[in-house]
Amino acid sequence: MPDALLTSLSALSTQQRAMEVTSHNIANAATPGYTRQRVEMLARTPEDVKPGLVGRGVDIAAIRRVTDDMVSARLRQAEGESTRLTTLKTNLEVVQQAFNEPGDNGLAAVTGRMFSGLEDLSSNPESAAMRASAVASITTWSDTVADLGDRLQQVRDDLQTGLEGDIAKVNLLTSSIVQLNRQIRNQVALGNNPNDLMDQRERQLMELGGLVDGRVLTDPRSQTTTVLVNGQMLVGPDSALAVVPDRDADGNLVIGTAGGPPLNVSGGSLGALYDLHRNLVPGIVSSLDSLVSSLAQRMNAIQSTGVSNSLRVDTWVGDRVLTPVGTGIDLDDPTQAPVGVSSAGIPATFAPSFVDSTGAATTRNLTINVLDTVTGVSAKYTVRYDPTSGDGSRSLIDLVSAINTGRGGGFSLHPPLAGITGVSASLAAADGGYRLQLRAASTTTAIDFSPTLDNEPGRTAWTGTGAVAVSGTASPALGVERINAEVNAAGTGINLVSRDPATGAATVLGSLAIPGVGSASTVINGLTLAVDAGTYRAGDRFGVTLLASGAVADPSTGLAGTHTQASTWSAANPVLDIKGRYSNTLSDPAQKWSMRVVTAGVVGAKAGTASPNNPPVVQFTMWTGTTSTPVQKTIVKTLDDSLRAGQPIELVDGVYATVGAGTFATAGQQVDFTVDGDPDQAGLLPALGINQLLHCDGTAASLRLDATLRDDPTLIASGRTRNEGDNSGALQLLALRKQTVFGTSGTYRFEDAYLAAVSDVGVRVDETTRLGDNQAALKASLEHQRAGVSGVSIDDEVGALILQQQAYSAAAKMVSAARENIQTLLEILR
Amino acid sequence: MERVTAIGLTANVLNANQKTLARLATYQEQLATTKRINRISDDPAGARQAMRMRVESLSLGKYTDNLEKAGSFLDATDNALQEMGTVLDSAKGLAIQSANASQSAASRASLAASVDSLISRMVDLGNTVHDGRYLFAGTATTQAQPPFARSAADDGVDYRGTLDTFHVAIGPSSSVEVNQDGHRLFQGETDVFAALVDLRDALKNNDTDAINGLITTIGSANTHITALQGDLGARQQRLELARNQLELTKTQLDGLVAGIEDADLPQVMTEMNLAQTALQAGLQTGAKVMQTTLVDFLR
Repeated sequence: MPDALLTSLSALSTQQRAMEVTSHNIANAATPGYTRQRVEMLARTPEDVKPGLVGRGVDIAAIRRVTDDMVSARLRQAEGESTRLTTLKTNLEVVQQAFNEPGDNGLAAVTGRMFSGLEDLSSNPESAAMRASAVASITTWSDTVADLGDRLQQVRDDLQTGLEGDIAKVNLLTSSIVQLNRQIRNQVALGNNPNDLMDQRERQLMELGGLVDGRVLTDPRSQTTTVLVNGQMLVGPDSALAVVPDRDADGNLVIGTAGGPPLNVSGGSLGALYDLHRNLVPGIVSSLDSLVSSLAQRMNAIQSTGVSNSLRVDTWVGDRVLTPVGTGIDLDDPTQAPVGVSSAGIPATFAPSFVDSTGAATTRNLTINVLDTVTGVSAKYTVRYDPTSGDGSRSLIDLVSAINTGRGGGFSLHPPLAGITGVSASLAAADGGYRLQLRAASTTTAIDFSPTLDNEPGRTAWTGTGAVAVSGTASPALGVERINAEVNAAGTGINLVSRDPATGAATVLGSLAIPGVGSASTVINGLTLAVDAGTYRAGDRFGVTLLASGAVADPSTGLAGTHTQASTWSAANPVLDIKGRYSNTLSDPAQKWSMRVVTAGVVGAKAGTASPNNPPVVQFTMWTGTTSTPVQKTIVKTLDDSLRAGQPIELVDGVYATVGAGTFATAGQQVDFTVDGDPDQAGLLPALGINQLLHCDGTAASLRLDATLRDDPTLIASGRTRNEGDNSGALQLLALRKQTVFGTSGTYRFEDAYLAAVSDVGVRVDETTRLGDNQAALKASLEHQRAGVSGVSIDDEVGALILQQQAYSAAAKMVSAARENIQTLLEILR
Repeated sequence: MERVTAIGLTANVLNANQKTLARLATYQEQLATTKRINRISDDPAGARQAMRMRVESLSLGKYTDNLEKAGSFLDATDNALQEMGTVLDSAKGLAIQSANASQSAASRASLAASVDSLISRMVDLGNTVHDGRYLFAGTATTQAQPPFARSAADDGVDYRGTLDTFHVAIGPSSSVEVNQDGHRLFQGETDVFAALVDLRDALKNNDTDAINGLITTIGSANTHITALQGDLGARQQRLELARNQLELTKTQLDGLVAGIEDADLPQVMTEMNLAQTALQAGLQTGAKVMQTTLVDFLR
């Protein structure tokens, strides 16, 4: 009989437990991630009372969580993918926001306004106000670009902060999971079911799943979990791998581990942030960078080879800083490219090119015009690079030396003087490196690099009436390959002058007075200088080439010998001016243009007048055609009263000449001049940042208006000649808008390439939004599934409660009945 | 059979409502801005097209400005040429008058003075300034010395401008020459100045043969000026055509941009109403379904 009591008692305690569990379930009906628990009841082992078995009540086998591991795993995966897409979407939206399109202040509209400003300039280049407003529109454009670059950089910085935050979260979660694992293992060892601990762990695994794409494995015996991320164990049974933000060899951020290889995360918000930080945002930034810097390079190339009436600058300092090492290596050497952010060097977009389409080194010219702003006389020099000349090198030091002494590496100067008269080049120290500096000896000299013509070539011709000869071998050696023989300032003597390759400073090696009659000679530094009597113009000079041995080269043979210079032009000849806007692109200083006096006479004299007052006849020799097949052309003109002094004589390709009043006294005299259609073939000026429009170190964020131009907007090169109404420079800038050379394929117009880049971002946002929506729907359905299995249903629980309550009451009744039975027995005993 | 739980139900209702709300927010934004595309991701392809067209429309506006300026320049040129024609007419009249055998050397000399003043008038016309710029100086538009001047020996007229021309763009691929090179116009194949100078010198020298010859020369100079005017007229006509074309293209472009970017308001409003109804229905059923459980029926 007491057995029945015990049986009922087992029922009482069991149902009470069950009710406790039900109440726990109801209490957690709204707890996210809660897994409903169920009491598993088991009838006790029956007792063998012959002739049969009698049950002995109920026991609790276990209190179990009702869960489906497969749904949980899927949900974790969905959570990871969903947070990845959400993170991608929100950050790409920030990127899209940075572009601020479509709108009036987006780069598309601002670019349009910049070209409108240039359009205004082109329709009225004379106006200083138009210059200022065109420069202002370029400033707005560059500011907008720089701002966009900054904002994208900011996005990238924020991503890094986000990454670091997520990494901290991962570490917190993994260490917490390890701790829970330990507790669970202990409880399991004691034979308990640590349901709520497991729930807690599952919630944290879910959260971890949102951060990284890990695979969760559960040990069936100890119930501990491990998390593998791409084969690397992030959470082990006893320890977690500490994750740290780290940098790889290239300085890029990676998700490092303490003492292990970097963690290869591709999913979850960490994977998304990493992808954004490492690939997506830098990809967008670099396409913007290359697009913008390629336009800036082209704009700079137009500015640097342009000129205008107001562009008169006596000192140019390059914007580009080269490392001390960089000044000695070839300018187009890839090692010139800056390493990392804002270090010295030439960005790839700005690198000069000394090679032809086949990649072989080829000749490249750089024009330097020296204008005397008082007389308006301009002299044209060409620094020509020839791979077969000298040692073929093309470093900044070579360029400086060529400008100063006429030769440096593969560069040499045409006409063959020892240095550009009145201009010296040097390396100006700046920011731990050097910039190219071109400085005029006088403030009334202006330096430019335009195709504008050599307007009074006779001024720089050798005009002495006697001959000057230099021969012998320099001793001691001079360290330069060219020296000048020049008439001194008083016009009384000839000096031999060498110039310092690095600074252009002139050193007079020695001089010889011009004799009254006959000729005189002297030995200077081992060289014999011989001068005939005659009249010489002060400042006239010619270059003498020295061979490697130090011997004077005979210009006609190139071998050691004597350089004899006789007059080519008389200082008293009428002024020849070369004008116009050269429309061809021939650029070879060896193909000289010239004017030769065929018969002497008085300019503008009546046709048919007898000598010496007859009209002179002159012959112009020109080059036209193409670079590959240049054609020489000659024009013979009689300068009679139908072609009075100062009237234009059309030559070829937009070039014309005027001859001033006066008399050509000597037939046969000839003056050479250079016409150059491609002033900077290699792109040296944009590379070195000389006379540029925009400062740019290859990134959009660095773009800004050049400081010189900011201070004086009238310096914008609106033309290619010094005429105030010349708008060809502005038209060239405008033509950039139509050039299809931009974008990754180099086949887009600038604005189209930009729009393509922007709409790419839009497409990505749109795509991730749609994928994210799909993923959210998937996640919702999985959550629904999970709720179906593990969620608390009030109806269920109340139903169970009613059952348990009834069982409990019945069991209580049974106890009471059993008690009555015992009572009955006890009464018999009494 | 699937179990339905309170937490699952709530999540369902909230999810559905959230989606409807998101749609409502989109419609609300479209109504507020009247634009269908507020950011590129709303319609990347459409946005790209619209932005491109807008930039194009903006640049067309700039061409219209250029057209206006070029137009006024050409009008000024036309006036100057007209005047030159009048001057040459008077010169021809004087030449015919002086060719008459009844004229004496003295009267011819006085006619020479009249021709001389016509030369000055012609030079002045060659130096016409419009909008601060010489019309016929090529690119030397504002230099201190005007493009035409009588030569020092007074045996002709010197040109001191440049031979370079000045173009402005009047369309994406067309441009018009505005400032012209006066040398080529007036001193090229037909030298209108030389004709006048020769006439004056012939009158001074009382050289009737030369005068008779010059009547034809001046006539052809006049024809040359008329031809220039005709050429100018053709250019003005081109400007007019270009202007009409630009306006038409701009209107079309603006229409296209609006078609792509603007929201279809009636449609958006209808859809917004539908979404609102859906939201209310969702909320109501949610409230009803979630209300009842077994507990309600326990005493």
